[in-house]
Amino acid sequence: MKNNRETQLRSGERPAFDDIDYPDERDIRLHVASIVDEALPVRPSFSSQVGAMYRQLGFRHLFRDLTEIVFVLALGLGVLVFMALFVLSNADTEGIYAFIFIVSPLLYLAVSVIFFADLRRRDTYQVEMSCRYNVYQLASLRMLTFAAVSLVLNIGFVCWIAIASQQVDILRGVLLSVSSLFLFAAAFLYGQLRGRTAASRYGLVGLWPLLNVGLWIAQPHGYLGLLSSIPVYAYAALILLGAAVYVGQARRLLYFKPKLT
Amino acid sequence: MLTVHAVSRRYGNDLALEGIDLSFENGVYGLLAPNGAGKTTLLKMLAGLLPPSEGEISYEGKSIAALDEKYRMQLGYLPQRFGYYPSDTPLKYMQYLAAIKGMGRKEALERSELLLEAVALGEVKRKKMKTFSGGMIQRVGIAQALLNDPRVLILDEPTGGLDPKERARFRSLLTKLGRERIVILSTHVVSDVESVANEIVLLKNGRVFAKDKPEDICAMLAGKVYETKVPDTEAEAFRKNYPILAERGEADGWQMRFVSEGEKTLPHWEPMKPGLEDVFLYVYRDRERQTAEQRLFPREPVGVGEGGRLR
Ligand SMILES: Nc1ncnc2c1ncn2[C@@H]1O[C@H](COP(=O)(O)OP(=O)(O)OP(=O)(O)O)[C@@H](O)[C@H]1O
Ligand SMILES: [Mg+2]
Repeated sequence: MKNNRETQLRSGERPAFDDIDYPDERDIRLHVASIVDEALPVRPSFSSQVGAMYRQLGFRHLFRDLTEIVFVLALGLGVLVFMALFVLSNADTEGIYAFIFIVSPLLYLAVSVIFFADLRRRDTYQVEMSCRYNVYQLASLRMLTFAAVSLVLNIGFVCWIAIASQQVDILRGVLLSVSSLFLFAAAFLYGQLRGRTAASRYGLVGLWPLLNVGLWIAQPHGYLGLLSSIPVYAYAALILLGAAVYVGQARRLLYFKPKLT
Repeated sequence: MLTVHAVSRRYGNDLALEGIDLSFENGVYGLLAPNGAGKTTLLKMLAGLLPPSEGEISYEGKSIAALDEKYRMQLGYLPQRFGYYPSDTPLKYMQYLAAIKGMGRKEALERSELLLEAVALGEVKRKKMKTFSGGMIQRVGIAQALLNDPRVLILDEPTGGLDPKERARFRSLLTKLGRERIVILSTHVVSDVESVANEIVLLKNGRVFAKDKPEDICAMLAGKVYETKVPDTEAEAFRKNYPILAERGEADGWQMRFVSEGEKTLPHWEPMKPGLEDVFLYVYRDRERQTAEQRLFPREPVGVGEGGRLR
């Protein structure tokens, strides 16, 4: 008895199947080899890859859990409005700015955390991972969409606050909200991709409000002063930075390989 | 050609697979090993779901990790536990999977319907999958693995939950598929692969124990398998001396099927033609457990074969 014995299979060895048409094996092999060759060296650009994915899958397949997403967003928005009503009647202008800054990532956070927490637990994970557009490639497109949707909802929310309070500057409020959203989202996605433990992947989620509220309580003047005195162009720079890091992380999702399944 | 080169896989500090070298050409390969031997681990690595801790897997000479999406386009995979969305109909789920496999809408619908017919689920293709039995779900799993007409088909225990009729249909399907594809399936049901696999791969202690045609695997035990009747009084000693493949208690003693490795044979030992199941039971026998079972249930037959292969 010999270990690791290998015998080559030759198609001629199985006469029982001779009555059925053999596809020319060499043709198939050449075909496969050419597909494999063609596509190897260059990775398509991120936008073309994402665009192709969207065209291929369409809204229906990408957001098969649309009802849940809409539900979570509506719930989140409800909570935000409720909190805002309380803040509007109790806080001064600086307090409202701080409120906007702290809660802006909330909608994004809600949909993303649910999505990532569910991702690997899902029974369908393994089948979906073996497909051309795997779970993480779909996730990349979804994260871009989540960020965009949160962005729009946040802007609407801030406009409403500005109108309701009559003392908040719309531009400053929007910039504050958007920079907070993008910085948080960039850090969140970075944590998801690099974090080895659940604590490092989700730690930020709890850290964000703790840090902000902590600062607010410990250094109310410093914290509020900082938020309302940073010049507008600095917020714009923060937004660009956050957005760039975020898109970079979303791009990494396309080629993400988990160590365990 | 799909090749596995010097592949090991660790889970934490536990070594599940070590130094695996294999190559697969078109044909059906049966991966046969007991529970926990590493079949699923190997198949997940072949499907690109799990990176090897060491070594490389390549397809047509290129690493599957580098091929990435291009490899998955050639791949059909049925995991050991096939997941589904309970409120989906099989048709909807198949169309969804076809879409993420990169197929066009029309083609996806046509092939989904055809494949569901082929696994005899045409009638229920618009019923929610949460109303399905285990075997029906498994058949959806088999069908989805074939959606993109894959060149590499990896099936982890595809016959789990299938009834005898479906098993037989599946076996004949395998033969057809293996003609122009690499088909690799794992199982511990020997009869699933005995007649249809071009080659059998046996894993033992995290390594490849053998890779050969079924008849050559069986030849390992050529001239070594016997059956005989052993009186009650001698049964205990007999079990200690020979690896038992199957036994059955009868009024006048025990009918035993066993392996004799030595040259010596006795006239009342009847030589038998070894089957794949004999090899499986022999290769993966474990003495401690047999003794333990013997002490727990002294009068019960202990062989896994339960007399199935006995005359
Ligand atoms: N995610 C994991 N983490 C840690 N150990 C694992 C993991 N998956 C598998 N193992 C270990 O690796 C070994 C091989 O497991 P594997 O699932 O590959 O076996 P198998 O041959 O498919 O078994 P079965 O016939 O029961 O499906 C086992 O000892 C198992 O405990
Ligand atoms: Mg397994």
